[in-house]
Amino acid sequence: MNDTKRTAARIWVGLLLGSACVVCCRSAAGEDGKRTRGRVIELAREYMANEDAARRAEILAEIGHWDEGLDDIASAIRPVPPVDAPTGYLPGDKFTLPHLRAKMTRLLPREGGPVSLHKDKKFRPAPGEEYMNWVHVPEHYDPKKPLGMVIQLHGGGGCDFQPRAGRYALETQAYMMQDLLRGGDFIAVCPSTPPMAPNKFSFPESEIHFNAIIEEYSTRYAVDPDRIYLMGMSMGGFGAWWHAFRHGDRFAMVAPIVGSWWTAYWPKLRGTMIYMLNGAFDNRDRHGGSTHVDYTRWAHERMKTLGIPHIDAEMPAGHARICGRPQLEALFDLIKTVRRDPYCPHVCAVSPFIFSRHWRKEQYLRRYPPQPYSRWVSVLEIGGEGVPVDCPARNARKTFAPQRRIMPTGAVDAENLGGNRFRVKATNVKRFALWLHPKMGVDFAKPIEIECIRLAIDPKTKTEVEAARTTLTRTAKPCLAAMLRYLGDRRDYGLIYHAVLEISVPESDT
Amino acid sequence: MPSSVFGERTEVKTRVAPIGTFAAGCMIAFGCLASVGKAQDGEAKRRPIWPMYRGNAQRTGRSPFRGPAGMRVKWETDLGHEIGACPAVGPAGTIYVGAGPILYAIDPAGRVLWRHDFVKSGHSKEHSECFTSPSPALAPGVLYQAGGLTGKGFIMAVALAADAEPRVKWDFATRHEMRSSPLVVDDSVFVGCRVRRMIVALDRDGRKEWGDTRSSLWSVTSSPALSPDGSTLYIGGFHGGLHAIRRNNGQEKWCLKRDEEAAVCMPETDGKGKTTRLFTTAGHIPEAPAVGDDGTIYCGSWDGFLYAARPDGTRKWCIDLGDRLTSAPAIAEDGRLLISTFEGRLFAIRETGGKPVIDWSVEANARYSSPLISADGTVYVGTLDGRLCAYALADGRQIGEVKLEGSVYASPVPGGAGVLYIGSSDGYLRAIE
Repeated sequence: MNDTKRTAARIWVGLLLGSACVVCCRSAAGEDGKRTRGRVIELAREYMANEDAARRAEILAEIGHWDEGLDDIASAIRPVPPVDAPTGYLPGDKFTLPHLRAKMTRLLPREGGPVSLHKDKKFRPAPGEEYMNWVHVPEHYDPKKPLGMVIQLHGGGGCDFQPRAGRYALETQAYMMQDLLRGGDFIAVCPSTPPMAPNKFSFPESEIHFNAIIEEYSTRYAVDPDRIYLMGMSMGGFGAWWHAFRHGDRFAMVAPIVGSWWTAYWPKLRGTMIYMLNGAFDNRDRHGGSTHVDYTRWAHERMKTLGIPHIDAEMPAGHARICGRPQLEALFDLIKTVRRDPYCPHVCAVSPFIFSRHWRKEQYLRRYPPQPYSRWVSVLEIGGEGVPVDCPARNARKTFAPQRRIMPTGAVDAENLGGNRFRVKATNVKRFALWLHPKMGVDFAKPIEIECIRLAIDPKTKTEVEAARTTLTRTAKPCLAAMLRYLGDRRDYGLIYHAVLEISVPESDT
Repeated sequence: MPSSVFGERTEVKTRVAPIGTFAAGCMIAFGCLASVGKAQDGEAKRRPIWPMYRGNAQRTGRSPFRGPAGMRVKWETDLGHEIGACPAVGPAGTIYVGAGPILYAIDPAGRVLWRHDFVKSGHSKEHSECFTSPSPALAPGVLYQAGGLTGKGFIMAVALAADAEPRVKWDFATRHEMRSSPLVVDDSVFVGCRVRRMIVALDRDGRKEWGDTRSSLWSVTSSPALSPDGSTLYIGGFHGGLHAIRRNNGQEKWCLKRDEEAAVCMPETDGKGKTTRLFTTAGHIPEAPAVGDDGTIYCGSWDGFLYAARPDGTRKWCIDLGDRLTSAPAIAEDGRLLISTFEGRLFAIRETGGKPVIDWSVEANARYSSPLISADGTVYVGTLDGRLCAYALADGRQIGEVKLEGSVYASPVPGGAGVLYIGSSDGYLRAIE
């Protein structure tokens, strides 16, 4: 063997050894990576299960910097529904998840407790009495094929905890649900309410109730988080409006039927389809005239002006839904097609959003759970002024005459212009956050430009006017900490964001 | 039925517009006084001015009288409850109209002759929505009124005697919410109702002539119309079908069903953000069909189409107007069709070479107020923002308007030459001259 051949053989041996080393090293790193990823998922699951702030901070300190496969991690930590969940009609179904049972027990009405009772009535729940739901799960339910979920809120003449009344809600009053259940791939949930409480779906804690419903049935069954719909009749219609303004981004569509709104900041509805149905001849003597069609006509005009997608399906009838059957059929058709878009380009957050009669009442104010989010924007800190909202009122002839009042809150209206550019209008907000995901068209390798417009209130017209305009440039880095912070707060596996930008609103032009 | 509810003294307020001269005032006052005494005397003898919803059995919405010259309020009478229905006008000019749960008879000067409170008579609870939508219908000596909510629905005949106070002749309990206006043909009355054949047929004594009164899942708000030969009734359905029913036995002749492929359409905009199409549903005919002299039946649907059907049940044509059609069509003397939409656009459609074309359209803000066409070629509609507007039938040019209050759901009806009556959601019935 001459030198040349010897040299060549050495090179080959060297190459082979080198390759083997690389393969070995890579293999070791892969196993290590898998172990690390497994640990990340394990801790992320613990983060979601544990609501203790200190423990959550520890977890974020350990894994918050992780930035690979965030969507996969979100999928991995999502609860897997059991394969043997019951189907069919489930009357009087109770909450099963321990942390939700505990929450709902705390919500039980009691004198001086969280749920306001009718002024003339006293109620103490009997032993064992608790919130229940009247549920229908299609017989053909398959855990591998997520279904939509429709939450139907009954009217004031409807039910409370009692099974009799629950059946009434599902089988009689919600007759149109039967149509839906026969034809659609939906889980239908008709929640019960505390007895004797007025406005049973609109009290401060009812949002906890609704979030518990969504979490309970999204855990027990495969539910598509982008196909959750809220509809309500009469008192339930008031509830539907209320929840649209409080946390409408949880729903693909909200359908208030012969109900009405009390306190409205219309831009908050951006991104959620509103299908409103009132009777042209609904009685102005009933409910203090509050279900009168003027309310929805006003809403229709305001939303039309602001470019907020909605349907005004007014029916030529009174309060009874039976005359609105064609309009309800149209609603069901829409339910089958409308999906929530977690990344829709124009959203608005208002926080805190509180029923106008409660603004000055401390005993109510402290009962409202924080709700700073609307999809990918959130309010972090507000100023000392407020935001103009519409509040209905009636004149001497009972004619609808909306008033504009200043709610002690802050609003952020955010628009994704594409190409890493955002425009944000902030009213009485000092700091806000933008939550970002690649599906929003954001390139995290490049700087992000935010045109920040501070709005002030014209005291004469009570409208928002531009006070300052600044363009900011920031960079954002995806990380598990951002994703878990959002997910931990909202527990909505359809709203996944990889990065967060926290912005202070400049006081003056720059 | 206690007859004492008739002839009650009421707190109704009537305001007559100042007309400038004492003489004119005296003339009106004299005329009014004379008419009060004679009004009901004449009811049974002569032909009513406006006997039923849309003016006649074919529901054409065409008036034989010229419209008001000046478009100003002649008088207004506060009836205390929302008025959503059209009045019927008797031969001597007596106006019959429902407001909330009360049926009123009003003389041509705007003074209440009598009233019937359906809450007191047990036909309604406290709800003032009792019969805001069905209009009354007049036959010689009898007035028919449908009304009532779910569980309390009824059809009622009120005898209008010349020399005695009116009395309830009979009432027929349908138990369904009534939103359809009666059609009177000879000795029979036909009303749309939530029953299997969509129409309840009663004879002059309130006995059921035909029809299966078992309830249906489908409500009916459309009012029946009659074919020119008097043999067939037409009515629109909630499920989007147009039904033809034999008048003599209630058998269905045909049903022109909605398109199987029809579906909800969401609003559409062009690239510049301009709305090109509004929300429409898979179909629902909420209002009365109108029947032409040649027997063609016209009806508007929530699917956005105006349909024309031949008497044999085949479709003659249809035209897409891009919005829910919420009013009844009116048929002009020259065959043009007038109809308004949910977002308030008033369309005039004409047939050219067997095909429909849009002749003109205007933003009228009319939603439920069906067009009325006067003999002098003027189209009148009430608006959601409380106006009565007049348009030239020839080209859609607005030629007048009068500001009322509230929202106008009802259609104006003629009270003779140069006078229209219209009710509003503010509870006032007004005469426009």
